[in-house]
Amino acid sequence: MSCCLLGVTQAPVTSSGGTYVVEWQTVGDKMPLNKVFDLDVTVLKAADHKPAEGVKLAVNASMPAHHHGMNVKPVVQQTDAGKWLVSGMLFHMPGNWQITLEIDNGTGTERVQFDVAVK
Amino acid sequence: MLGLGLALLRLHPALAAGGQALTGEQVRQVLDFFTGEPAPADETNRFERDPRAAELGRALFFNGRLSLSGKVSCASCHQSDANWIDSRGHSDGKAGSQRDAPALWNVSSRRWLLWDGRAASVWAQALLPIEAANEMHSDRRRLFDLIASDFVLRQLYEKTFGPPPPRRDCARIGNTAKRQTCETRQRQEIDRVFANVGKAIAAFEATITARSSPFDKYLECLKTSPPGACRQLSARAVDGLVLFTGKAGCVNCHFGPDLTDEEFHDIQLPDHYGRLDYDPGRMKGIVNAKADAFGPGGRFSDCPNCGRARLLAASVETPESFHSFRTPSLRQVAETAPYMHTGVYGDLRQVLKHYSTLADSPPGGHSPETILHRLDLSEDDTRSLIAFLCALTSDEGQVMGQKVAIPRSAASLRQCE
Repeated sequence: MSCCLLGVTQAPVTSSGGTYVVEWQTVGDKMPLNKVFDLDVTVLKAADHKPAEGVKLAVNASMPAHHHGMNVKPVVQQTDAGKWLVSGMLFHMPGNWQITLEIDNGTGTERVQFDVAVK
Repeated sequence: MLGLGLALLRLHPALAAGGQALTGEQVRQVLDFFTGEPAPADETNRFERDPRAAELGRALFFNGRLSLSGKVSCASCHQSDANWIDSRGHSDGKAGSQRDAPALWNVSSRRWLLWDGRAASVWAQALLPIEAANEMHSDRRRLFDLIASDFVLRQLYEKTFGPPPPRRDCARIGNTAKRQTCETRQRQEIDRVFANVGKAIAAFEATITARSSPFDKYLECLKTSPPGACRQLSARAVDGLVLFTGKAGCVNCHFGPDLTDEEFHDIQLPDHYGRLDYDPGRMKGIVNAKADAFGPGGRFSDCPNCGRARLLAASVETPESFHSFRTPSLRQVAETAPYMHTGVYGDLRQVLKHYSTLADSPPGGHSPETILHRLDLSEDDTRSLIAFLCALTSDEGQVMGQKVAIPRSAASLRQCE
């Protein structure tokens, strides 16, 4: 789970309640330090790996060791069934960041977290 | 063991320069952290690289007539012969400022301006002191009249922006609706001239650059030279670099070509919590930047949908914004005492003592951010870090495309012996 390689892609991870499978990749070729970047996120139903329907996605990130988050709020837009574009991410410091995605289906929220090392 | 050492020496040029060996990973990290292109031109100011605008900007920058008293100019607090700072610490302006005027070297690369980032571009920043009651205490109407009436300023303005609009005598119009239309149009024209003044001053400031320090030369050497060739830093300065990027953790916030993350932190400085003049820093800066009529997304921006505007729109107040201040560039840092946004520390040794002991930290602190911890620097560590910081001093810069020698200040000579 490290970043800063060309074309950063995250392998699929199952959400906290087991309902969804989430994966993301950076738009462009890398996840840069202290430069704005975007993510493509895919949310599939774990049961049949078809696009998740009727859900809202929220994305945030923080540095657990520093107890702070990003200084910006990214914009999350659904682009297709089960697909979202998260634009305006900014990791302004080097170190370990934790990206948190929350999937809200109207009755409950499930969470996925990814650790990334930004250099 | 000796054989391994010699092998490393052959592999990594930095080994020969320092008191300790940089590993291959350290060389790679140093290059990753400190090399790269400075920020691109400000797309919200299409005149930023225009030499005609820079000429006008220079004439305005040094002109005391921008102020109500006729005596305070930009150069009053950004002195060209003192690394573009106000060597007195708090900038006096008209009635005194609570904050330390930062140096202007490479200022066009800054993401946010002022210690709280309440200006999101250099041109927006340049306008604020003109109307600030404790600085120039003037206003945009007086400036409009000055541009129109001063022969030199008017000529320089026309070369870049075309003729300034006429002063309208709206008061003579009897019809109320027509008078109000006239007044509205006049206000818009005055605001446009005011914005152009800011853009011209920013164009001049964009010519003020200095990136030829021993550290710059050392980085260039690390990229290309054969082993053992990089002697631009003293052995002690290389030790300081290792501390800076390692144990001391300075690099967490001070990285990039200008050694700043361009963002905001609470570094637990002595404060005055509870006093009326308590400074909330970035918490208020975001609000003010978003409310600025001359902001990057506003009607006077030359690219209201570009990166600066989007970044400001996306910026949020967080709990850690409170009492946080912009990370300054460390270029010329040995020359720019006093330090911190309040000018509280007179030399680099005092700054490092703060980070080493956190003895000045306010009890209880307000920020949840936990970046700082006591470094417990030894005397040797302190001397090494100071040696590295002193190696960030360029002795030559550029202003208006011309090379300029940068004289060393007495304070710098004292602390960089």
